[in-house]
Amino acid sequence: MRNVKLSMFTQEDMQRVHNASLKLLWENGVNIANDRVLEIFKKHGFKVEGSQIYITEEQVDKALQTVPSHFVIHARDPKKSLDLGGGDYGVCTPIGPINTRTLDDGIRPGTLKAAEELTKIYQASDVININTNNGVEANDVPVKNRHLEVMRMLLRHTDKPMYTRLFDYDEMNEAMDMVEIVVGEKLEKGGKIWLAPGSCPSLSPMAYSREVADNIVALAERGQVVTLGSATTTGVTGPIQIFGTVVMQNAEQLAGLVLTQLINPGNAVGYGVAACPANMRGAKYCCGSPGRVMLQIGSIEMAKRFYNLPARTEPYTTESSLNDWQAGMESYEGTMCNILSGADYQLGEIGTLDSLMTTSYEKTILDEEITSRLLYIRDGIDVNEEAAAVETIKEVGSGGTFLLEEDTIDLMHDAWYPKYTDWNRDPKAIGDEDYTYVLRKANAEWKRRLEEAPDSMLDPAVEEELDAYVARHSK
Amino acid sequence: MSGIQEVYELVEKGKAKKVAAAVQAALDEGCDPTAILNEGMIDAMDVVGNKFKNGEIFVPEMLIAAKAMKNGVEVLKPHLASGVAGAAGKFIMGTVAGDLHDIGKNLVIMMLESAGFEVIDLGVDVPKEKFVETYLENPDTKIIGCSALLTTTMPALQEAVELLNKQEFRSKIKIMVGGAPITQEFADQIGADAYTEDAASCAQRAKELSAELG
Repeated sequence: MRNVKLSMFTQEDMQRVHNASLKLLWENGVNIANDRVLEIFKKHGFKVEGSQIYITEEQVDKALQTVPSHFVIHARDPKKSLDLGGGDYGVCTPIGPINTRTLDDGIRPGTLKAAEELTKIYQASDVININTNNGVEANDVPVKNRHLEVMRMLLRHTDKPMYTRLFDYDEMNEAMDMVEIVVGEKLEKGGKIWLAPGSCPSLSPMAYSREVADNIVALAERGQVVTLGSATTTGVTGPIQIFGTVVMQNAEQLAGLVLTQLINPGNAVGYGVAACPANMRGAKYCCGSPGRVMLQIGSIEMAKRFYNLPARTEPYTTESSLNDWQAGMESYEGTMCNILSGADYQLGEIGTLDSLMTTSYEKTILDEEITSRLLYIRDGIDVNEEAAAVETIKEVGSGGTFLLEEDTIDLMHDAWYPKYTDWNRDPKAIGDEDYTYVLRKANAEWKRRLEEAPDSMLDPAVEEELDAYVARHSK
Repeated sequence: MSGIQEVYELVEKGKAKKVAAAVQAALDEGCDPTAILNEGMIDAMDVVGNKFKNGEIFVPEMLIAAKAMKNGVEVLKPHLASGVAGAAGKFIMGTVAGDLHDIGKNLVIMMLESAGFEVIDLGVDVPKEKFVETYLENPDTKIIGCSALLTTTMPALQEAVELLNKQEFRSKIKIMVGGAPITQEFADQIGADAYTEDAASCAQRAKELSAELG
C-alpha cells in the first residue's frame, strides 16, 4: 500500500528549518540544569557555560549518523512486537490525564483502579497496540511508591509493547528492573527494547528540565528507546509563527537526540512532537486548534523526510470537556494529521477530553474507530492493473449495475465499516434529544472488555517475584 | 485631558513606553501621587482585568497593560508614602517543588502587582518549607500562592498546602492555588482557601481575600 502522507514543506523549507536549528543550537545553546548531563557533554568536549550547552553542526551530524531509522519495541507476545520506522504503526495510549469520565459516573479523579481498568480496556483492543501505565494518574497511590504500583499494574495486564510515564532517575531504573523480571532478560545497551516513555519533553524554549534529562539518561544507559517530545505553545513558550515553532522544536529535538547518542551511540530515538498554538484568551496550550495540524505535519516531515527517524505525534486531543460534537470534530482532525503525517506512532492520548486532563472510557472506544478509519485511508488507493476494473466496466456497460459482479462479491467486505457509529439507524426509533446513542454502545463495549479481562496475565511465579521486588523497594 | 486621565488611558491601552512620561507630567501638574496610582493605574487595570475575564482581550494585551502600570509605578514610587504601592498586602508566590514552569505564575504576579499587592516571588521548584520560612521572615504577608503546571507535581502542591495548614500562623493568611491541572475540587480537597482559573480572576479574588483578613 502507498501510505498516503500529507505535506507542508518543500525540501528547501526543510533545509532552512535544519539550518536555523543549527544556528540556535550553537548561538543560543540549550539549557539543561542537570549535573549528570552536563558532565556527559563536558566529557565529550562540548562547549558548556554554566548549564547552557552549545552544540555544533558537526556534533549534530555525528549523532544523526548513529541514531537508527527504526527500532523494534518488543512485546511479551512476540506477535505483538512493532517495528516503528520499519512499517508498523503504533497506536498508543495516554500519558498524563488526571481524571476519568464515564457515562455512569461522570468525571472523577484518577485512581490506581481506574488506571488498571484502562490498561485492561487497551489490552482487549484490536486497534491499540501499545499499552500504558498512565491511562490516568493513580492519584490515590503515595508518590514515593507510585512508580512501583503503576508498573506492576501494567506488567500484570498486558502482553503488548509498553509505554510509561516519566519517573525520576532511580524510579525509572526500578521500573526497568521490574520489566526485566517479567520479560526474563536484561535491559541493557545492545539488548532488546521493551519500554518506551510516552514522551521526554523539552522545556521550551530551548531547555530540558532536570527531571526529564534524568529519564533520558536512565533509558539510554539501558538501551531503551527515548521518545523525545516538545509541547511548545506558540506565542507563549515558542514563537507565534508556526514556522518558527517548528524550527525551535526541531532544535530542541536535536539537542535531546545528541544527548542520547553520547550516552549510547545507536540508541533508538523517537522524534516526538506535540506543539500546539496557544489559546491567547488564557495563554494556554490549545490542542483543539487546527494550527496543530500544520505544526505536527511540518515537524513529522522533518523527522521522516529530512532525518529519516522514527517519529510520533499526538492525536485524539480536544479542548472539549464532554463527548460532544466538538470533541468528535477536534479529535478526528488531530488524529488525521497524525496518521496521515507519516508518523510511525503516537503519544496516544486516546480517549482524552479537556485538553489532555481527562480520559473518557467511552471516547477511548470511539477514538479507536476514528483510528481504524484513518488507517484505512492511510493505505491509499489500490492502483494495480485489475483495480482499474476496465473489463468489469465494459462488461456492465452503460446503465447497468455492479451489484452482482464477481469483483463486488469478492471485495465488498474489504471496505471499512463502523463498529460503534451507525449507518443504519432507524430515524423513527431515536428521538432528536438522544445524543448518547453511540456513547452507550461504547459504554457497553468497555464493560464487556472489563468483564472478560483476566485477573492477571502473568505466570504466578513471575508475579510472586514481581511482588517481592515491589515489597523490597516500597518506602 | 487631565494628567490622571492620560495615565489611565495609556495603561488601559498598554502603552508601556509612554506611561512613565505621562506619570511624570501628572506629577508636574500637581496631581496627588496616590490619586495617580489609584485612579490612573489601578482603576485602569480593573477595566483591563474585566475585559480579559469577558474574553474581549488576550493575555498579551493584559500583560502589556500590567507592564505599562509597572513602568508608571517606578516613576511614582519616590512620591508615594511608604506602603502605598503595595497597599493591598504582601503575597508570597512560588511554583512548587519539582515544577519548573513559571509563565503562568509570572502572569499572575504581574496582575497581582497591578492590583496593588507587593509580591515576593520565590521562583520555581520551591521546596514546601521555603513557603513557611518566607512567611516567618515576612509575617505581614496576607496570602500565599502555590502554582503547579504538571499533573506529576500536584502532590507537591498538596504537600506544600498541607504543611502551611499545620502552621500556627495559618489563621492569619489565605492560601491560593492555581495552574493548568488544578481544579476547585482539588483545591477544596487539599485545604486551600481559593482557586482561580486565570490571572485576572486571581488578582480579583486576592483583593477579596485580603479585605476579609482586614
